[in-house]
Amino acid sequence: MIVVDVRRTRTADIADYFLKVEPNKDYEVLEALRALVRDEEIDVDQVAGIPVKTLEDLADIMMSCKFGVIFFGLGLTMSAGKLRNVDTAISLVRDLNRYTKFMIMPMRGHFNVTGANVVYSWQTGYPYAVDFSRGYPRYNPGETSVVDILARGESDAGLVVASDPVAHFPKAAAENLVKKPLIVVDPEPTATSLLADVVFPSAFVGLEAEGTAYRMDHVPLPLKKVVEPPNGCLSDVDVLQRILDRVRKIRREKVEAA
Amino acid sequence: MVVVLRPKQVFTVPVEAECITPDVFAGKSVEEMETLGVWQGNRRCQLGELFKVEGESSAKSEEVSIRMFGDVHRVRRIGTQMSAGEVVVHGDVGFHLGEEMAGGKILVDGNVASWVGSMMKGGEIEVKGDAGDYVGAAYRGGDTRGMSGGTIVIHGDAGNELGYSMHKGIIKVHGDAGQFVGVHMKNGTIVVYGNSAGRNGAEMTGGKIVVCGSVPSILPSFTIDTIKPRVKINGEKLDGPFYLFTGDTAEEGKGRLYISKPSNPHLQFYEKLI
Repeated sequence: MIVVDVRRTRTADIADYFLKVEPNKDYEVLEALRALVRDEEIDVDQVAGIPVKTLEDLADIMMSCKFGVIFFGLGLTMSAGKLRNVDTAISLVRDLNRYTKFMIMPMRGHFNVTGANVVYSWQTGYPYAVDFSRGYPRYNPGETSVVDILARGESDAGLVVASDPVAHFPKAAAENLVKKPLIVVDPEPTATSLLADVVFPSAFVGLEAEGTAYRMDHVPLPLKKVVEPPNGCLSDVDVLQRILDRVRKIRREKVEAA
Repeated sequence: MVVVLRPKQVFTVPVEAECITPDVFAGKSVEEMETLGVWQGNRRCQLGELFKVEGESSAKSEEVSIRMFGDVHRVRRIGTQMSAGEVVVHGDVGFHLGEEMAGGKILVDGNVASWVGSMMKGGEIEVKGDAGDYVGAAYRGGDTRGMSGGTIVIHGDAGNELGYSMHKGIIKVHGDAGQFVGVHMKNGTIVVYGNSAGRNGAEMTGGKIVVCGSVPSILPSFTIDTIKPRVKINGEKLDGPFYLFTGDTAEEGKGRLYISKPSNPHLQFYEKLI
């Protein structure tokens, strides 16, 4: 196991090799590795604080293993370069597959983020940031991603399901979210639900309601209902279905009136 | 002939108005132009509901000049697929200005948001102020073919990923540029007269990038080639000397990166490798 990080972690302690990179230099390291995998010479002596000799050894290990996997997390996706870091990591995996079997997989955090991505993908073709404003799905992160829309103050209402953007989004985005009408569906009180105009407390999936959660490797796991939810507490599916029914009814009435 | 557009309200949700082009306006009366379809958020409406339309159009699109006044910084896709004529925006303007444009000229007396000249095929865009990210780029999650012709001139600064996936054409930035100038570039020319935030030419396979100001570093997948006394861009001579790097070797690329020698004394160690 090889761990690459800006600081020594507990995972690094049990690893065979630990490479400490300078912060925000992941892209340079990945590009250097790609050049080495393609048998190119590198002009500089070190990249992001790592000697090129060490990177050459790392490239040799990756090319000579039988089946390797790159796991990446927020350190790669949220540091300077962002999507380009992932872009070049995918290209590195593509290059490595000339020599051996290699895979790449994002390390997902919260309960069912993988599920959201999987369902978006098979419903619309895009994994997140899907814009339906013109009646068909569109995807252009930066333009259609929620954090950017909120930061620019372009929305006039918000519906948050089982998430806590107020605690996690940049300040400007969170401020614009709570300025406009905000509806929250969540089993637990959160920073967002405390600032919402309407809150639907929902049942816990896998405890008070059945459902499906996706594992990090996209395996769907059916979850059972174990106990009854508190009286009047619906599952998030029921809450959303009832809102949808109501919206469709109001729309139908409007069309008929016109 | 000149057509003048002024917003009737302050836009809070985005407006998508790809009908604002000389090609669409050509041969239409003011009343006909007012009935053209635009989107405000998730609502379809008519151009006349959002904008006051004045002036007169011409039968030929190359004779149509559209002038936009007022706050249009949330208005997107102005000049989409235009092939002739002129659009002048007095003030800041929203995303995707001149998307897929093939000819004519767009002039902005203000700043532009991201994706100006995205997938542009020809014509000219001139911006007096700053530009956002993805100047002359391709979409994310869509076509991977960026700008394939024409000229974009930014007089102020530009954001990140300028000329992403560019195939042909020229982009000139008179101010500074962000990171990833010419990322995934296939061909064409980018000139940054100011400084760049680095990672220039990342994963480029061809084309030419010139940076006259300073860069923090050169990607390790680029190789020093030589020092050139000057570089020519469409007949314009830029005096250097310039370090010439080639790459991106991670893509077996043959792109050329000209980086000013006087502005970058920290790159002097490359000279012993020439």
